[in-house]
Amino acid sequence: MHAAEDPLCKVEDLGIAINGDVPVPIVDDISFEIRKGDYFALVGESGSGKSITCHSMMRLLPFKPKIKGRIAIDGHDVWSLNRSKLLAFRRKSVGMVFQDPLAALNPVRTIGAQMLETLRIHFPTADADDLRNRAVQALREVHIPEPGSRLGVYPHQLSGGLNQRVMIALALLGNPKLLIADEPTTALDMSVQAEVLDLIDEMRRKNDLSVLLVTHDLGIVRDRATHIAVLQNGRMVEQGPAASVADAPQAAYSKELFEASSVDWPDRDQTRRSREPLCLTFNMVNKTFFASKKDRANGVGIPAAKNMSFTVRRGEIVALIGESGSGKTTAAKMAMDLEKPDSGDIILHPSPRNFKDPLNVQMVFQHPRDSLDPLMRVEDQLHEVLSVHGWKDRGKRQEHILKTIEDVGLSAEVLARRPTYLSGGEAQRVVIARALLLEPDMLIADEPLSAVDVRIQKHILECLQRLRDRLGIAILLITHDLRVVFEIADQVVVLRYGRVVEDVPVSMFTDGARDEYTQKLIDAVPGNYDKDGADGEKNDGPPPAKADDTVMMRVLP
Amino acid sequence: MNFGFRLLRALISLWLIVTLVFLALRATGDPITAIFDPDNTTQAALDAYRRQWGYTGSVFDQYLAYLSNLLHGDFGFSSMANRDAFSVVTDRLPATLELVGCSALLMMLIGIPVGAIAAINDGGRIDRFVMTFSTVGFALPNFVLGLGLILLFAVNLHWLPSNGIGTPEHLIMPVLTIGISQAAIFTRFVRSSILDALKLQCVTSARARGISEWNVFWFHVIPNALLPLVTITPLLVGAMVAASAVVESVFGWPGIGRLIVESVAQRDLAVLQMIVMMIAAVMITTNLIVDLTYSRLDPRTSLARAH
Repeated sequence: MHAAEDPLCKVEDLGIAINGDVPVPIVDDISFEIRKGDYFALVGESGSGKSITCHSMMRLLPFKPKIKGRIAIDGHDVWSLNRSKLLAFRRKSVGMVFQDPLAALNPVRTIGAQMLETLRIHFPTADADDLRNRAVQALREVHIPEPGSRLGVYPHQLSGGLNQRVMIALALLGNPKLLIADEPTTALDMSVQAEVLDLIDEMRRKNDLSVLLVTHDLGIVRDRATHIAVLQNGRMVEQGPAASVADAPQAAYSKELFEASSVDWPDRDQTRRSREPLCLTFNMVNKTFFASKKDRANGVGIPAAKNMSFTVRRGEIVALIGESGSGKTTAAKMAMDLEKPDSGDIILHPSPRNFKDPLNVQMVFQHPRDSLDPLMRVEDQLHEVLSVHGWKDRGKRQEHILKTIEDVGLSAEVLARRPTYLSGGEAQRVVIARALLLEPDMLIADEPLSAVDVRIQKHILECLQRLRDRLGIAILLITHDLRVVFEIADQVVVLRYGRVVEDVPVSMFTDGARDEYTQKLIDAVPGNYDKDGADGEKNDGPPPAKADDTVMMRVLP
Repeated sequence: MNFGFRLLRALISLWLIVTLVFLALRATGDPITAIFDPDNTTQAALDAYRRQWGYTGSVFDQYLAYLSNLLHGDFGFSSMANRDAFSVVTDRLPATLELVGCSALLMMLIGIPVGAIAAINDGGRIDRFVMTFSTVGFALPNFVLGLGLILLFAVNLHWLPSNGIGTPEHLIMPVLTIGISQAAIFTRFVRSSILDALKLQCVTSARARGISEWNVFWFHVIPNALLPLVTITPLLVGAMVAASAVVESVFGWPGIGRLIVESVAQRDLAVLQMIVMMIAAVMITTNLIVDLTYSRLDPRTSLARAH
């Protein structure tokens, strides 16, 4: 054995195709090596084949594949292992963490049952008490508070961050040499993302792990990885040491990818708000949700708005940020009159264009495909909006639609298609166009970017910015992504548990955060991470992750 | 939702059904003239029957009298059997329970393993074979299957009695008839819910931890596949009761199913009414049990409700 020279994981000329009469190729010609201690990042957009690649490394593909090339991990030729050797390989050599921890844990079994089941494999002779202690110890390792009391709970009773910690604990129970993390933070809130990534770093150093991180988020990669490989359409376009790939990408595609994901810290001249006419005012708005009548009677509810006050002015992009459960979406719904506040005023001011008209507000939703009718052609859906609002003449409607489609940067040929044949970015722009048809004074966009790839995000942001500049539309932008905020927002409103904890122009947002929570959000921005700690040159490393116990308290009685 | 609330809801459903039965019977005209030919019965006799069965006074008075009779356990008088309808129906009940119970058992014995095997071999030869047969199974009308069985096993082979009740041999053909057609449907449900469960991320993640296929199947796939299966159980029970009407007639099985046919033919409204209420009660009870089972099987629902 040449342990020092042999890479832990070697993928050679890997090609995967869906087996059938005509094999459908998914990835081709992929080669890379992961050495001991490497933090290898596999990046690419959705559909680039990165998940398929990492699933193939554990033979977990959801279809019958046709495999070319060779995957060797920890001395095993993965695709030629027999059944029992494969089990042993999965148990000892590799651990895997998935995108959505709530889905990756069995919903009908307790955390404890799932941990004990795995521990029993590794310690077949241990008695119940011993196994239990090991489970508690494993949960403690990943900094889960009160680990003993967590064994009896079900995954849905824990927050996303805690579930992902449980997943990591589960994956590491067999002391694997390689940890494959497939988009481990995509389903989590921004500040929790950082904690989970810190935990993976910590585990990597403590347990001498190599990490293969699959992600579409280049911010993470730049901060933490030692090696980067970029995939596009199932082929590897570039790979190398992290610093050289991230700072000087060679391939055109990786250049575009890294540029689109770079964070421009705000550096703006105007720190004073404009004196444009007001569009929307929230004044001391309160709203509480109750899970049941009993809770309502006892006054035990989940506050979605507590004395919430902020304003949106004409031609202004106001970003409403906060984690899930902070009341962002409720605020949007109340502004749209889809939800009634318990108390306080929500004022929709008269239209700034014509003070006799009421303010025209339109909404853009998070999932573009879900908000388009899959059976209707785009054109018909847009015509429908106009004819409902009294546009009788088809010719005039068509003219207006063409103009609007152009406004959002699409060509007229998308009109004839059905939503299935639109890319994610095109679909989202159709949704924006549909909102613009009625010439609104204000757009409310609820996480318009979270369902699309990073390059497309850039296009949509530009589209929104152009609309604001040209048409003077006010935009209330709901997001959890500070990168988006820095890119286009004028004013930032930070929500936490329904309270406005910050309401400042974006240029003042980063200088000396007044609120602890805001600071946490800023620290969580990819690119804001102290890389020296990650490389292990400093002994202390990142601080032990703080558990999101506030979230737990809400769920646990 | 606690048990008491569900029980109350079940009772309200039962009351609604009892009321519907009352209205349906009144809507079809005067029940007395429907039962007795007015030309051959004296007016005095008709009036006497009216008084005896509570068909006097306004509709609302009749309704109150009807409810009060039901609450006192008086379910009317069977003109066909010349005794109270309740005992006529309960006498036939065990035979049907035996038939439906055995059929349900057969359905599960066939459906669960065959559906599971088909799901594991998704798209393979076994799967296609199973799917083809299940299509044939539920496309085949019960009476055709029943008559076919009689022709084969009773008429030609003389292995089994074609008619009647009493020995296990009598049970075989009726149970096969209902069981096979229900198993055909159930197999498809089992197959599709196991297929759905196999696609769950938690199954992939269990495999990634090196848990054996056997344990993955029993501890991760099956618990998740059970939830949709439990939900359709009342549907299948209802289908089996409906099937029993035909099958019992074909095999001369003296159960509720044949009683429905007889009482319709004899215009025995009291018995018909009793049967409808009893089937309704069985369905409501099944639903109640399913509701309770569901919240035991899926911790997410019970917790959401406990809050």
